[in-house]
This record gives sequence, C-alpha cells and structure tokens, in this order.
Amino acid sequence: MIEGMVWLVLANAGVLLLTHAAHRRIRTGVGPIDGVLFVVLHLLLLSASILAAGMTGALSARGLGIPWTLALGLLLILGEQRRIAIPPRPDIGRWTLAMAAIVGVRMLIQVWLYAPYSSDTAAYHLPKVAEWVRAARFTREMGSDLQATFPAGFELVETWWAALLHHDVLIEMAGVEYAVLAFLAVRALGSALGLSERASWNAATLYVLVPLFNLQATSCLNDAPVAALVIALFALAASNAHPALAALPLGLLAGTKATGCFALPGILLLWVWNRRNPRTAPAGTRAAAGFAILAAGPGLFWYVRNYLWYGDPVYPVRSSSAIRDLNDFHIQAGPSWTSLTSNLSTLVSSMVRDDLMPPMAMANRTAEWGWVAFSVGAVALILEARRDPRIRRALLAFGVSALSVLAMVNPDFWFARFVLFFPAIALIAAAGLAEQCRPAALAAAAGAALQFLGTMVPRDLPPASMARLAAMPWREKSVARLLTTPLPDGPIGVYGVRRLRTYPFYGPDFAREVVYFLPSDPAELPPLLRQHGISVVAVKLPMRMNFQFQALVKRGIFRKLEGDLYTLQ
Amino acid sequence: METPAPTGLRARIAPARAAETLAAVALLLWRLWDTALVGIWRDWLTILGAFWLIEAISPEHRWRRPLAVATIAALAAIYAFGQVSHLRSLLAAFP
Repeated sequence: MIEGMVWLVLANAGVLLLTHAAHRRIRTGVGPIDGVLFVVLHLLLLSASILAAGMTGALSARGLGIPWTLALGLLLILGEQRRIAIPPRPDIGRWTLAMAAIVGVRMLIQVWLYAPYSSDTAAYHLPKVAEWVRAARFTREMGSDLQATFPAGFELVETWWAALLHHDVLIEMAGVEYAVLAFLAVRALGSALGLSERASWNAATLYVLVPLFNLQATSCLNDAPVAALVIALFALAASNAHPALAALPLGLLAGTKATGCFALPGILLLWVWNRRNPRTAPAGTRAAAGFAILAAGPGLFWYVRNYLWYGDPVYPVRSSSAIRDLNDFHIQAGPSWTSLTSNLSTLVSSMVRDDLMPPMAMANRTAEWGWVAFSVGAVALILEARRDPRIRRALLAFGVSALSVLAMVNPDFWFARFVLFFPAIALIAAAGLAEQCRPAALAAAAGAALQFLGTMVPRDLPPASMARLAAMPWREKSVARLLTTPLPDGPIGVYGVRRLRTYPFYGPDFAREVVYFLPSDPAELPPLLRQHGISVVAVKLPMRMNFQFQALVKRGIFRKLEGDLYTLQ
Repeated sequence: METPAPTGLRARIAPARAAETLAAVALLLWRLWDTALVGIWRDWLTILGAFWLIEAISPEHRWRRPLAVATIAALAAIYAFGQVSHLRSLLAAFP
C-alpha cells in the first residue's frame, strides 16, 4: 500500500504537469474557458492512460506509476514547472468561497468515509473495474449485468484511483474531479452569458449544491459527470469556441454515457446562434486538433469494442427481446413521442417538487434540483430571459437539449438524472437576479444552506449504515461488511441474470475472486461450484429458473444465508 | 399610400410581446389540461406560467418586484412542504 501511495502521488504529479504542458498549447486566453479546458484535458489524459494500460496489461501501480514518473522527470528536465503561472485571484466573494470550500471539504470527507453503495454502481459500473484491477488489464468478464457493456468512460477515471492503490478507498475521487469540472463549467457559462465574475462563481457554487449533483459526485454514478460535460459543451458553445476545443469534452461525453449525447441538439443550436460572435480560439489550432483526435479514443473505444465482441456498437440496446426479457432490461432505442410527453409531464408535474421520495443518488421518482432552482431559479429564468437575449437563447437551447433527452429515455422512476444539466441555466439566472434583488439573494443563500444540510445523508445509505461504514477501518471499508453474514475468504459465485450487487463481493482490495455462472438449468450449478471450490453463491434469477433453484433449496442442496446469498450444503 | 399607424390596444402590444403572451397562455392551458384541478394550486409550471403572463402583459407594473418575491416565496413554501415527511423519516432513522 505504501508503494501504491508513492506511485499515486508521482503519477498524479506527472499527469498534472503534462496537462499543464498540453494546456499551454491550446489555451484561449479567456480565463473561465481555460479553466474548463484544463480539467477536460486532465480527464482526457487520465482516460487515455488507462485505455492504453488496460489494453497492454499495465493496469497496476507500477504499470501506471513508472511511465508517469518518467514523464514527470522528463517534464521537470524540460523546465515545465518554471512555466507554471499562478492564475489571478478570482473575485469570488468571501461567503461564496467559504461555501464552495465547505462543499469541497465535505466531498473529500465523504470520499474517505464512503464505500461504493449505490445499486447501479455495485451491479454493473464497478464490477468491471474490479475485474480490470484484478487482472491488471481489460477483461472480457465484466460481471453478469447486461449493462456492463455500456460505455465506461467514467469507470476509466475510477480505475485510475483504484488501480494505483489496488484498493477502492479513494475511488470516489473520480466523481470529485467531475464536480470541479461542473463548478468551472457553470462559472464559464455564466460568464459567457454576461454575468459578473462574482455572480458566475455564485452560480457555480449553487450548482454543485444541487442535491442530485452533490449526492452523485461521491456515489460512483456517472450522471453527474455527464451533466458536467454537457454544461462544459454549453459553455464552449456560448463562447463560440473553436470546434477542435469542443471535441475534447465531446469525446469524453460519448465515452461516458449515451444520454449525454442525446443533449447535443441544444448545444448545436446555441453554437449556431453564437457563430457570428468573436471566436474563442486555441493558442495552437494544430495542437487542439491533435487533442481532438486523441479524444476520439475514449469516445469511440467502447462502441468499437462492442462491435468487435457482439457485432453491435450499442449492444445490448438493440438485442433480441428474449435476452432483454431474461435480464429485465429496458433501455429505449431511438426517440419516442410517448416517452417525451410522459417524461415531460411527470418531471414538471411531480418529480420537480421532490416530495415523493427523500434525496438519493439514484433520484427515485424525484428530480432533486433543490429549493434554489425550484423557486429562485425558476422565477429568475423568466425575468432574466425576458431581459437578456443571451439568457433567452441559452434557456431555449437548454430546453431543446432537455426535450431531446426526455424523448430518448424510458419513462421510469429514474429518468430525471439524465437532465441533471438543466438546473445550471436556472441557477445562472438566479445568481444574476440575486445581484439585483436582495430578497432573491437571501432566498438563494437560505436555499443553498438547506440543500447542503439535506444532502448530508443520502437515503440509499441510511444513517445507521453510514455510521457503521464510517467506523470501519479504511482497509476493510465495504458495504459487504454491513451484511449479517460474513463473506468467506475464498471465491464467491454469482448465478444471476437479473440486477445483482456483485461489486462488494470483490472486497475493497479486490482480493476475492468472483466467478460468474450462467447454466440455463440450476441443477447444473452444484457441480460447477464444487469444481471451483466455491461454497457461497449469490443468486438472482427470472421466475421460471428461480422456481427450479428454490426446489434445490427445498431439497437441502442449498441453504439461504441472507438476501440473495446461499451456501452449498 | 402610407400604412396608418396602429392605434389603441394594437399600438400598446408589440408583436414580440404578443407572441410571449400567447406562449404564456399556451403554457397555462397545457397545465390546466395536464394537471388535476385539485392539485393545480401547487403545480410548479402553473405558478410560473401565471407569473410569466403577468410579466408579459404588464412588465413595468409597480408590483413587479414584490410579485417576483412573493412567487419565489410561494414556490419555496410548496417545496418546503414536500420535504417535511422526509425530514421526519430522517429524524426517525437516527437512533
């Protein structure tokens, strides 16, 4: 672990210095945009590094640490550190600075105290990361969930934090970096739309306090990163940035989640509207084009991989109905008028009030935009859009993006997280109104404080569980230890085609092997388990197969332990 | 032959404002159609639509600022009311 920490520090220093060197070649001279580009470049370099390491079997502390340490050494010899310029002190306001700092510190504390707890995270986002870290390379085995084959751009950044330590204690740092991106992107968008510097920072702080964004930032879910990238693209569009610069976040977006790409129509519209404004150009167009080509790697890798493995770049979205039914898989393929009308009605009629369910990272039946967006932001949008054509055009563009996303996703309980970018425009308007109207400023400040308090406890991690997690030594911190039944040291089997939280089985240090079985007849399972020396198996099956499995339980071949866990007798 | 200048109501309402007024009315009609009447008083878009309509018809009225503040307060109260049950359940979850 000590060695891993050393490599973590050196590798992070190396990638930061390389980001600085790259950034010098594409910066625009527009401070807010340059801030966004720095973080995007950093994420791009991290992602490309993990892609290269994953394909070559170098996904380990030394595999990543040695090359980046060499890069660090080379950059130091070339004197890159002498070119580091401290950015000018921002006019952020002391209260906003204090609030932003408190939010940041709380996120870091959450990174330390939490273990990955969300259902989607444990079912299909992180099992692949665990398999990659265990094998020190990308693997065909990614867990039993059908959605494990989806683009995994966010998981690349998570793998960075997990592979170097061979432990997931800092895995939530991936989300924290995207929170920084969102913070800078909202500020850049506010600035491009005519807000004062202080108001832009206020809007940025209000956005990272949006309950859903705040909860997602340390939950290992990828909707907050998608929102951050969408807002970054809006900021570039509002600034009429060079297309090569837009390709950087676009590549990351395409490789993170398809729902982000559904928001592109509004972004393109804003670009078209701003095309006659002075262009925000990079220092070096060829360098920007080079990085744009690099961005295609993390963007297209997953689709090319799926095409090579499954014959379909968007597998399993267009897979046969038999496979989808077996896996209870419901992802919409293509736009639907019914989805648009249903989602829009549900969102504005009930979800936006956040009264049906308490706040949680998965946003179950809620939008979790929070007090400020719901009240001050909404009223401010009307006033500011009427007053300022820039806000009006941005609002229309955001609206088009939101409608586009709503038309492309299933009407279920959890779709609101796919439009998590939308509150940004409301909060930019709120920050603008707050500068002119003291009652609005007071309402926004009070709402922000209440949102901060309201997100202390995500409801998918109840206080009792959170307290137990916080009390665990960091080496053993895992939601698996919240179970009554202790897990064996040896391998665990998984026999399931339905959503099953398998990530905790690996252990926080990825030391435990998890073996996935898929016999169509449950009667074939016992000899397979004995063959692998496995006594404990997690089971989640569709109805017919479950009846067959329960018959084995009745015959005494398996005994139920807890939840979905059974032991072979 | 010159076109005579519009008079009366048409002179006061510019085309852009007319379009905006129609949009606000359309929004309110949609909400009336989409929302059960019993819950319309706390419908987010209905409140915003009504505020927008007033702003569109008479943007320079002297009650503009108090109306904006009152609308913000009303929306905040609706949101707060919806959080009460969550707060109760959260407090109950603590030992």
